[in-house]
Amino acid sequence: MLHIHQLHASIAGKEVLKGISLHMKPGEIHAIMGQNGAGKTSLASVLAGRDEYTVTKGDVQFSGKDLLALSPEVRAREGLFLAFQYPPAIPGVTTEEFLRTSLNEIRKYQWKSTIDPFELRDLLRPMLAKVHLSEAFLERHMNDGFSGGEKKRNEVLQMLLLEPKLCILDETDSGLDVDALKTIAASIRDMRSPDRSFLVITHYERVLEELQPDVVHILHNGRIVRSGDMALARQIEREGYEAAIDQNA
Amino acid sequence: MNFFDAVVRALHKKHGEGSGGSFIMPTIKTEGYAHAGLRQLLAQERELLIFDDSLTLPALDVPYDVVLWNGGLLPRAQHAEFHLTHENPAPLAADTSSFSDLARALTSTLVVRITASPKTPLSLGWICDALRPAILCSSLRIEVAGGIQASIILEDRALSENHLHLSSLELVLEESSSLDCALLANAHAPTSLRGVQATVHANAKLRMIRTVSPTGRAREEITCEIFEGAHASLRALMVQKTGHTSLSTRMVHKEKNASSMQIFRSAVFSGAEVDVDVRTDVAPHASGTSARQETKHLLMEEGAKAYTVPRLFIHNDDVVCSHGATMGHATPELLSYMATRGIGEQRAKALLALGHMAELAHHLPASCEANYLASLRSLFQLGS
Repeated sequence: MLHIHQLHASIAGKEVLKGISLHMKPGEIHAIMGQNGAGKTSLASVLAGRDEYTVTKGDVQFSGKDLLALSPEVRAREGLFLAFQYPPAIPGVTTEEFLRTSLNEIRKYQWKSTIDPFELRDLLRPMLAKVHLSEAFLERHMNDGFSGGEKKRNEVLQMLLLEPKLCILDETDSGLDVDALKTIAASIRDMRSPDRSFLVITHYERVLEELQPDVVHILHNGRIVRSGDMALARQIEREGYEAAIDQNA
Repeated sequence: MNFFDAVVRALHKKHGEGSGGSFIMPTIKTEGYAHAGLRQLLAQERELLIFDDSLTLPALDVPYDVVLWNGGLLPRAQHAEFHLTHENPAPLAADTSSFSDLARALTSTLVVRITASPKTPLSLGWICDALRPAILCSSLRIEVAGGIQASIILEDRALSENHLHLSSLELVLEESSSLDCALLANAHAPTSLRGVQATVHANAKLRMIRTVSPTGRAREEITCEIFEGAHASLRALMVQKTGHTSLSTRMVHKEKNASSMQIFRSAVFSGAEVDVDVRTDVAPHASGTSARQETKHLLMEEGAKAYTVPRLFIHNDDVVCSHGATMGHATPELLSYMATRGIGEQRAKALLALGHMAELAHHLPASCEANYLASLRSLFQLGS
């Protein structure tokens, strides 16, 4: 599914990824944990193709394609989805309009027919229920005046709708109360399939207990310094990052 | 004597007597006419020009009163008022061509006086249809009286379809009355309207929204005079695909405790230009004034041009006035976010422009908002 080899990247001249290698198989959930500034969001952003980052070295294969050669929109159309930690507001554009545009752009790329507003509503109804949002939510302007929880639910709603192959969740659990966290985790679990993978970036073991990832990585200073299973996440929760990193050293 | 003979005779008499006096036409009552019959009457007899406030149109449930103001043959100060109701169908069955000519000659200014609250907005399209000969006038004056709430939709399309060239509009809101006024552009041709002058008397409320044609060249001036405790808002939506729109607006606070808003949005394509000269004047005795100006230009492409000149002339210390003007391209952060959702740059920019305009478009009359947004979708090539 995703093969990252010795990835180096910088932003504004500062190197933030310093040789990351990671291999994900279809159907796997990988968790990335790490202290603030470790490079977690940078990794997600580079994979999504955000243009403020410059890849200086390395190679990323996604479903057999050279991911780094693709534009950000083509990466999305190929099935890569990034759930943002801080999704921006788009005043004046309704959530429904945005979702329909996004879905139709992806469907056109996949040589599928576009869908009309009525079909979209039918599609979205059960998904909205899944993330505990009402239909009226679709009339609101995208992320404009949304609470933190609504923004995160909206990101998950998009993920449910677009059915990507690889879902990257950048601290989607941060700032959520326990109920919201369980709702979102349940949606992600429902999406799990043998041909869909998840890269979950988080500070907290709690969401990982809900998702039960196959692999847990610690990212530190732009590198993956340790990988393990859920036991590693529990150790971090119990002892902190420094201890977990030191143990590896 | 039939109705038209009466008009002609009265006019002949008028000319014969020189410039003095005015005349009142015979009354034609509408009672007894069903809705369908009245519509049919209007369809067949476009020369039915004037209604007094005893006429109620079932379709709109709008009692109102239309006065023809003569700025042509008669001195403007000595206007001719026609108070007609329909009493007998016979006069309207007569050959009306002479009356049609007469109406053309008579009316350089049409005055519509609204004296009761309509349940649905008055539409210039409807007025054009009913008053086709009369509205060859170049200026229209709308008066709202009696503390009522009224709304009117003036569509450039209705004007152009009727080959009409309205160049000026005057709005008069008498004390404590309220008017929602939508001035809607033709999508394919610039407006003939050059000036709007509004007078908002004490405690009255004027909410005006203007859309401009995305093509061609247009220059328009809008001025509002605001009296004690009154409120006036002006919103303008300007999508400029080609050509140049120049909008000059002015809110004049004449008395105390009045408020005003001037809020403009534009989306400008390559080679097109929008300039907005927005001005607020506060008179020395207009204490307690609250005034706001806000202009946001979105440049869709390289080569698009937009200008704002905000001006404040404040002659009183007890005022709250704010102004803000922004201009720029779509923000990279939003384009980047949309790219991660599979939306390419061109389409993302179009969607952002639609959103930029939609923020103000919800102030349009509900019956017009969907059409306006559909026209923008088409213009931005966003599909249905």
